[in-house]
Amino acid sequence: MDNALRDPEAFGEVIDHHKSMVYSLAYHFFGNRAVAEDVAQDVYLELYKNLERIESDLHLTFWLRQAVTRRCIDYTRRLKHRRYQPLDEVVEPGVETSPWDPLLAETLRKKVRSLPKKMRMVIILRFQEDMKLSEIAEALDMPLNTVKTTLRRALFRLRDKAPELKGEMLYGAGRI
Amino acid sequence: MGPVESELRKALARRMPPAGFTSRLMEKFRAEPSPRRMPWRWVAAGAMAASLSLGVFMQKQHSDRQAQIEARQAEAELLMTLQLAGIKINQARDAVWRSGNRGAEQ
Repeated sequence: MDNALRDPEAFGEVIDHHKSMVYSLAYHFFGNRAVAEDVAQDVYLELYKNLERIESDLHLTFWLRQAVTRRCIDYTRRLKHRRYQPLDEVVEPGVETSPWDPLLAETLRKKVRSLPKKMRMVIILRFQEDMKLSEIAEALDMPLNTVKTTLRRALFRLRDKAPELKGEMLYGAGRI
Repeated sequence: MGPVESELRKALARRMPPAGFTSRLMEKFRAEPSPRRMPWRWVAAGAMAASLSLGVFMQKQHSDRQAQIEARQAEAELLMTLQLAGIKINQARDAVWRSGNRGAEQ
């Protein structure tokens, strides 16, 4: 797989094929387009340096998810002393938008971003990537039971805000 | 699946990165030196240098051991010489003592 991907055109195709996954993982984690793009670009540069390790398409997807996950968590340490401003939903030309209530979606994303970093990543991997708990455990290098507990606690925290969410949902539905 | 899970799935749907993402990234790749494997010549040179160092080390170990053996042999020879010299001195002293006694008797 290494030689085939070394070709710039082939590597460009790999970028295009996985860019929404890589970028979205970072975007949902930070809620900041510039930081998400930085992280995604770093992940692809790391991939380019490690192409000889990639064994298959499936392995490539796994590798990218794991790399972006680690980089997001590392990046939070670097950003600790540097405040970044999560951008609110501003519709950009060329950016896909969700076909439903943007207010409710943004409220949920904000709540996700307020979770501790590992909890946040478990939620993102579970609901953005639809990954199995065992896959999340492997990607985050966490025991399966810890992933289960983390997910349960994260959902509990998010459900805790359910009345507020319900209100926003009704408001949003009325607006549309 | 509860309502929160269902809403999360929609809220966290994948999105496309800003326009020009791939081209900006490809620019970075062009600036980045391509990863190169270590050429076989360097690998061979490294192996040769390592085996040469090992040979020199082994040779030094061998010569050190040889020097130790020689030193031990020299030490043994010296002791033997000293012992022989001691015996001869004793014999000479006895001879002198005996000839002295004989002179006194006469």
